[in-house]
Amino acid sequence: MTHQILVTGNAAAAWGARLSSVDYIPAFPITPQTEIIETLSGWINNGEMDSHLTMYESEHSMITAAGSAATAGVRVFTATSSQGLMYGMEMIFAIPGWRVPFVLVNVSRGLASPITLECDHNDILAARDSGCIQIHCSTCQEILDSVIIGYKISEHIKIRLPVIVNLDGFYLSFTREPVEIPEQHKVIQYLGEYNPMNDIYSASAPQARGLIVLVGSQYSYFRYQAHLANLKALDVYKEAAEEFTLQFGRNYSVIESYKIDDAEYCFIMVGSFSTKAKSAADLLRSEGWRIGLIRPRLIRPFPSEELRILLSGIKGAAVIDQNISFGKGGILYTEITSALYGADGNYPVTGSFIGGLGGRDITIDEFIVIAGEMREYVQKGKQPDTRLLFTEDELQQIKKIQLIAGTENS
Amino acid sequence: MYRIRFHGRGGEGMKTASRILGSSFFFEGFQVQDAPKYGAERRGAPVSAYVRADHKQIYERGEIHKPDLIVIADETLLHVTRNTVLEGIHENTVIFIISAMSNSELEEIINSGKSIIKIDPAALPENYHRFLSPITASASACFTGKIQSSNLIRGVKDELKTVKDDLIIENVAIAEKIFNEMKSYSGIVTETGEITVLRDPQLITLPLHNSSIATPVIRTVSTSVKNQTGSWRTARPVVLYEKCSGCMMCNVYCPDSAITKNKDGFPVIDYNHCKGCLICCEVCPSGAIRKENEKIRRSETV
Ligand code: SF4
Ligand code: SF4
Repeated sequence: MTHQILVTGNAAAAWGARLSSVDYIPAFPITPQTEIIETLSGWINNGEMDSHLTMYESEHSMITAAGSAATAGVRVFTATSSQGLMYGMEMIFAIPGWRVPFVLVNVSRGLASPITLECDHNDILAARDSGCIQIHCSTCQEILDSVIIGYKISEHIKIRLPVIVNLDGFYLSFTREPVEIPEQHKVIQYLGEYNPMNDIYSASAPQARGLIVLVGSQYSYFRYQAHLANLKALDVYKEAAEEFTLQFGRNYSVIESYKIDDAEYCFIMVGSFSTKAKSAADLLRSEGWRIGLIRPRLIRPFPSEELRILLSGIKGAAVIDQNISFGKGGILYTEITSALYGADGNYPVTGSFIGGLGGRDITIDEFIVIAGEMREYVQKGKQPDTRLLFTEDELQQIKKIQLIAGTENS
Repeated sequence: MYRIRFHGRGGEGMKTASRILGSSFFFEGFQVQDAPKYGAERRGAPVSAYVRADHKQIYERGEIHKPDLIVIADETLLHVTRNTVLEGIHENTVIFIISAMSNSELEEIINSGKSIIKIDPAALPENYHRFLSPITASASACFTGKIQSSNLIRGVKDELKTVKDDLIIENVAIAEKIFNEMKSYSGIVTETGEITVLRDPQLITLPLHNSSIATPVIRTVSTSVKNQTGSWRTARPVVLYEKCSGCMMCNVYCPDSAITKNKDGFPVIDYNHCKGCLICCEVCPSGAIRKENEKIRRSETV
């Protein structure tokens, strides 16, 4: 019997690992991710979970251990956040080239400086070009399910790349929501017993891994293979999600769309705040707007074709980025517009809004203002400039703390 | 949707209270979202927690800006962070507070909302500080009029499943007692639908400032002196001078530099900044620092 319980996003991630029967968990604590490894170690300690957890001295070692254990033939789970992901970044970029599977949960938290504990997506998006597959979640249920789906994709013979499942710090990590816990045997039936394929360490059949190649053409071959595998993960994801729906009933398309069928306008965003966009859309619809939400779940591989289908015929799309690429703007915005540029079809005017940095709230009022501005720009037929969601009140507060801090007002 | 916000201090159990209430709603068949909001992540520092409960899937997230019920477990917060605690009161907001203040005093400070429901600490067991979670959760559950006591008790037990049996029994007993005592207020807290009263957030275009101000830097000295963390204390260290040898070990170990030496060479505790960690009590070789429970914090600090 499946049952629903109230759990935090962190606990949902831990449940995903537990139900996937992971063999090995290299770990290192960091806020707001620590509860994941505490939960897992608690289960292992009291015998509810049969797995091996090792604490490392840094995320760099932890991620190296995750990749290494995957080469040795076991199912691996690990988790980190923010500065921890940055510290392990050398290995995040190196391991996809080893072509071994594991799932890493990243609990998004803004990067220094200034230091924050609260959420935004610059940490996970810094791993965008690493070769790891990225699934972005918006509810606690989705976290649990994405970890399971993550193994299915990661372990596919054509893929064998790490999958990063991303959830928002605080807004999901420490927030409880009703989550259906699937039965373990059904998850194992869905995933199959772990099949290491060629990734097995045996003294009688030694292998060398993580090699150097001094010839550019060889380097190009291996790098492009990883790219092709990442692209292929789009199809593999779709199959995995379909099978998941058959087995567990929940539907996870590559891009979630909410009230898009008749929409003239839409919000585009990833992460937990996208559920707020749904309530904003509901509110606007009650006032006669035809508006919805488009939420890519996969950022790598990027679902360009699926996006074009959804956006075709929409007049105005507001991309809300909870991240910022200094010197360019919203990262998601760049991804979205590059998927549309030059494509045949009737695509919307797109606006770029930066909001929710360092966990700053995006209020319902602000969604309404965004929709209003998009309508103006559609009428003018031009792209608006990038806009930071920031209020006069906030600037006044900044001035106050600058006064206390004694920064000269020049 | 019910939107309920709890305010207290780290260590007073507001996260637990929100989870008990969240679970009770959940067992009653509601969709639920609950979460704590940590500030300084320290005992005694102001913390809040919230519960949303609805009949359909909840899309709202994060802070509750328009609460139907505000629970204030620690009245001193009305002096320290009044604006945060009372943020977003609307005409139907009910306020529940544990306070020794008179009704008129409270009304003067709070000055809005539908009603203020007060429990005087004198009417509670002497050790009520240890039971703020079941007290505030069960009162809140009762105010909604939608939660049966059996589901409240299930919520308490579910949340406390890792603690000792006798402690669970105590928690359940106090939850039941408060739930019954608050019966006359059953149904006083009502749901608010979608929040439709909007205001222009007044977004601005942020200009470029010189790097000298546009960097997180503090150029004034002693800013931490201005931040009076004394209100974080739930317990207070008191020096017993008759036992004190003046060795100043306490001064060395105090993580907040809240202990200085007076002209006679003995320690003096700065209660405006002492956070009540009680490390000084632990390290004093002469047992010359006594721990006292904080009762009235607001007169001393802030
Ligand atoms: S450590 Fe104890 S004995 Fe030493 S100065 Fe402090 S209070 Fe006095
Ligand atoms: S309890 Fe003692 S050690 Fe802790 S802050 Fe206060 S004076 Fe310092």
